[in-house]
Amino acid sequence: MLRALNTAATGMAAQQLHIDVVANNVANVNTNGFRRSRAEFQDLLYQTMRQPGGQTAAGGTLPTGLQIGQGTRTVATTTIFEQGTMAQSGNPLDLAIEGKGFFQVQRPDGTLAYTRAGNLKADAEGRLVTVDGLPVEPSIQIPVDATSITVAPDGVVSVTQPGSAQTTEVGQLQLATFANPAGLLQAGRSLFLETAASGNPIVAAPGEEGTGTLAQGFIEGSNVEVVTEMIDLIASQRAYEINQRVISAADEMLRKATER
Amino acid sequence: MSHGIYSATSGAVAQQRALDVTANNVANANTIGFRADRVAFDEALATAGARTAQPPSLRYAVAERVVIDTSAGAHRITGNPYDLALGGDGFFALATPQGERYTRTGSFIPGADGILRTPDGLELIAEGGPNERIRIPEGVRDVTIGSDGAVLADGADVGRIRVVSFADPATVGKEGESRFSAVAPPIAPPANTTVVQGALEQSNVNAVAGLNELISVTRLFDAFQRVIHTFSELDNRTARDVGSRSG
Repeated sequence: MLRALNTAATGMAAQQLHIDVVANNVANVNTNGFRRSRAEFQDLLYQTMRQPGGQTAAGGTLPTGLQIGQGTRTVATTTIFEQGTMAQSGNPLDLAIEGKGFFQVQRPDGTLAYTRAGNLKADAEGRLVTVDGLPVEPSIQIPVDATSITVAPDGVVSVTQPGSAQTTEVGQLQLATFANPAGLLQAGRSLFLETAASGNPIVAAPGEEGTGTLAQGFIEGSNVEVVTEMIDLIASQRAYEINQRVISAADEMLRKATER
Repeated sequence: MSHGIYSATSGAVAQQRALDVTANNVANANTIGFRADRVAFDEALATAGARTAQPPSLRYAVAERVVIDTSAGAHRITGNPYDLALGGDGFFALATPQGERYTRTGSFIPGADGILRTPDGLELIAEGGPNERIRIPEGVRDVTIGSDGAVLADGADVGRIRVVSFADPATVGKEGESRFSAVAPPIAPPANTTVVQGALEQSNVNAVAGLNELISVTRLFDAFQRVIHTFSELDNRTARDVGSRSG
């Protein structure tokens, strides 16, 4: 049978996966702190019938070889950690990170997760939490009677309370950075988890060790660019079609070969 | 039996192989740094034919050579600091358990130890020796890679990416997984080779050319098939007619 049938099938499978990745990116175009992914492909092993540069029977070297490829495979989906778009919201607990850092949040099982989604809230007890209710680490307690909240670029949170002209400092936010953020595991709900590939988190105050500073009253949107995704979608769709044409061509040739 | 039927069969088989090659090209239309293959058809057995009773005009077609198309793919801007494209001729060098291998796929990621690697974990070789690597220190904010491959992490020199070339590009073979191997030792790249940061070289497979190849392969196969049928018909008729006269 023709190798072309299987080869084209790997191409179609790769394009399907490519469209899955594009679909997830586009679906999250308005997700705060979302980081887009990119599918990366590699060619499969080659069937080498004649090694390039090999010896000929006459003692010379072959100028070119005969290698037939077997198709493509997906090697990785890489998360791209470019800065997302910054939108002003005016909400004092919307914090955007201008840099590479992540907020640390505590999950119900006590482990830490990392997020770029800085649309924080204060829960019933005044703790700073994410929209999913996960407390920010280190824990910051906002007094219930606070009239205004100020978050400095270095993460120091201060509040004013009734009857006092002075602001009171209630804590300082910390940010984590990773040697290899692309190695983080995407856990959904805008959360990332540490892996052996990402390295250990380096925790520092905002503005130190490359964590980036905080911008109060801003939300960092997703870093998905719709135009780029559309181009990927079109290219992927066309490539899928051509692979399909290869299958029909191979089918047609086999039909011709078997007809009497 | 007519000898021409074998000539036509060799042509049909060569077209099947050409389809295999085209299939691999279009399957890799989205593979970063992929280089398309082209089949070169040759005449074979022309001398062998002369020694037998076959008429010397009879020739066989074989697809015994596949040549790598070295034309450059389009650069796509990604903005990712570790995405590197090569302008001009050349390859990045990778350390593999089997020895040094080469790639055009410039999508690198620093590992947990800061060493730049391919997505499948192979370390990128730096200038200065086979054991030199590019190590990005922890907490670096800004990585700049110059057109000569020099890597600056927050302004500090952390090495230069090794870019190599080959005197005879025909001795470079494909290994799959975006890697190339070579039988000859690499040489320094030509002066016009540059490293472009924040871009990736797309596959050099041209979709329109791929479609053209497909059409030409199927039509040619069709034509050979018809020739085979004609010869078969001829032999058939000969056998019948000769048989009926002698009987």
